[in-house]
Amino acid sequence: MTVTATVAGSAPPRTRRVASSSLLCLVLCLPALIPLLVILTSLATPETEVWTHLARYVLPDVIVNTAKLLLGVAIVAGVLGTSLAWLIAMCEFPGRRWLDWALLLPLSIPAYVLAFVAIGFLDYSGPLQAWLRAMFGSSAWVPPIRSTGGVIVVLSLALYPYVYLLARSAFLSQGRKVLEVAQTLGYSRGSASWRVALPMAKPWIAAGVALISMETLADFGAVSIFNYNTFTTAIYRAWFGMFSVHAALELSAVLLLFLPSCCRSSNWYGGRSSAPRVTSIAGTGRLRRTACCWRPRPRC
Amino acid sequence: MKVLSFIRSLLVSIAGCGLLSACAPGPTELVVYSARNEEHIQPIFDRYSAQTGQTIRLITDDAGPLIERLAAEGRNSAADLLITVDAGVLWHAAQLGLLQPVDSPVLKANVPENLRDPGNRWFGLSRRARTIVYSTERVQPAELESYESLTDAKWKKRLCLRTSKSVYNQSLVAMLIAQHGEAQTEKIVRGWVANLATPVFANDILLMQAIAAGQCDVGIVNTYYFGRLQRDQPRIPLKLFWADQQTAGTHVNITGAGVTAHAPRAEAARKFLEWLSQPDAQAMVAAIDLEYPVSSAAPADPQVAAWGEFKPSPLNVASAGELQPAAVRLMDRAGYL
Repeated sequence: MTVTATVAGSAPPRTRRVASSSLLCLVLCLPALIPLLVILTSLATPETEVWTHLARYVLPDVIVNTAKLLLGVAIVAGVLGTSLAWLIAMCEFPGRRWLDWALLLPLSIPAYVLAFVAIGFLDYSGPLQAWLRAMFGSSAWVPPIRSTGGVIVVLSLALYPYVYLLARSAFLSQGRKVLEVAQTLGYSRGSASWRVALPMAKPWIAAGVALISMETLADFGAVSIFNYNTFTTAIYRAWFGMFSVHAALELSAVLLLFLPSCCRSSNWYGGRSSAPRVTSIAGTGRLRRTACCWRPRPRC
Repeated sequence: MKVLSFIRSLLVSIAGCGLLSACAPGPTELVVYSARNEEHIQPIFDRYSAQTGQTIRLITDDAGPLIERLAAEGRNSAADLLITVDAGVLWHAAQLGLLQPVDSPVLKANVPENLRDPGNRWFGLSRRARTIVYSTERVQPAELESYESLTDAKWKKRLCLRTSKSVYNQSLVAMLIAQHGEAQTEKIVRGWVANLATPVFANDILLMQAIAAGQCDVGIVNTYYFGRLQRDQPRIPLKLFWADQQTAGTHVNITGAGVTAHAPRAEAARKFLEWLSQPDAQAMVAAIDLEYPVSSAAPADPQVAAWGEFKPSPLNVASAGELQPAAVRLMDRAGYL
């Protein structure tokens, strides 16, 4: 007892500071937390009748669709954003300066507008397919835009700037010197990018992908235009179609369970050791690598 | 310091919100919550204001949020009138106790019985039919008959539908349940799904463009969407076919309104509703978005009248709301996405 009292009484000031800042943090987060708490409390009073229906006919499709979309967009937007960031940060080519900011522009277009334009232009009744039919007859085949692939591509095009922006900053802050050092240590330019620059940018890329994943989970407009059933469309349907706000809340609670997995994956991916392996080089290679350091900015 | 300045700016913005909410409506200003677009309703308000001097404040949003807002505001709500599309939504608002009964001989005389709430809590203001549209290049009208006939094998890979998320399809299926019962309706819906030429569309316009382009030959749409497309492309090779003319009649839905349960200006709201049901206003309400007036004394727009007379379903549109949850579940079971 005495020991406990002593420990509690002599808590170092640092701990107190931490406690008060976490309290402040909680107060500031409260407005955002309240809706989440309301959603979670809905689980305490389940509406079994609607839920049984949803679990049998709606949820299986919705979970598979949401997972496919999440994975697809994370991969396509992640690869697109990272490669564009690498090209812009590491290479010099005509148009690079304006592409540097122009590649951010998709962020200013809502995903549903892009979806609407893509369907209007690329669907069967759109101008592209009408032209193809006029040229090659009705046998002309174009992959259907209103499909899982279509919605993944459109959302990726709308959301890749999150990864692009973060990865670009990462590559720029590393500078080319890191690559050059790696080259002096025996890596080719390609493998230096792959083994050194990319692993160092991983935490930023992972953060971008986590943001994209959350945006994808929350998207309602684009998936509605594609009529691609995800959690958001199921929530809307439960609320407006079945007049059950409660079932909508329950679905939202299940959707919330996806969020920690987004953040966890970003921690896992971003938190792994990113130290590149160093190998020694000898002979003429050494001279060649040293010369690289004096070379002007590489051109791709 | 940063935290302090953040809190200060937060407080300033909260105070700003408080000031804004102080801009309450004047004591005689009518407050209307509307799920109709401003462009479809403001001209009518302007005419009423010009005729009577009654000022109207319009607040627009989707029906769901408006209903939730009314419910949350309760007795403190400033709203006097709720205007929405779809009878199911009005039925739902009435079920939640958000609308009050209005005993008005004028409304009873002008609005047919099947287009208003049996409890007089909401009244239809305009009608739209949801019926069959077909390609004049590939379909003869003699091949068509009813919603049910679209399940026939001859329409295999020739039918286009809009998503079952559309409240208009939910209401249509609800009305089919009222007519045929659940088991038969499920057969119909499964038949439609089996005949689909392509995944369902997000809206009626995309659907009609697909028929015009040759992706499919028949579909089911709301009449005013057809009207809008026809207005923009007068030569489009599509026509409307009135479904179920030999049997129950074509499915109709309404745009309607009800006086809110705690309306501060209920009397003014009733007067406005009565004015809206008069033939003069009816012609304008219907023509503004190529709909049909509910009052038989009002003329339809010439473009709408050119689609011909049809027998509408005599069922009370309230069934659309009552059976809507059952319709949604039925469509889920039938795999109608």
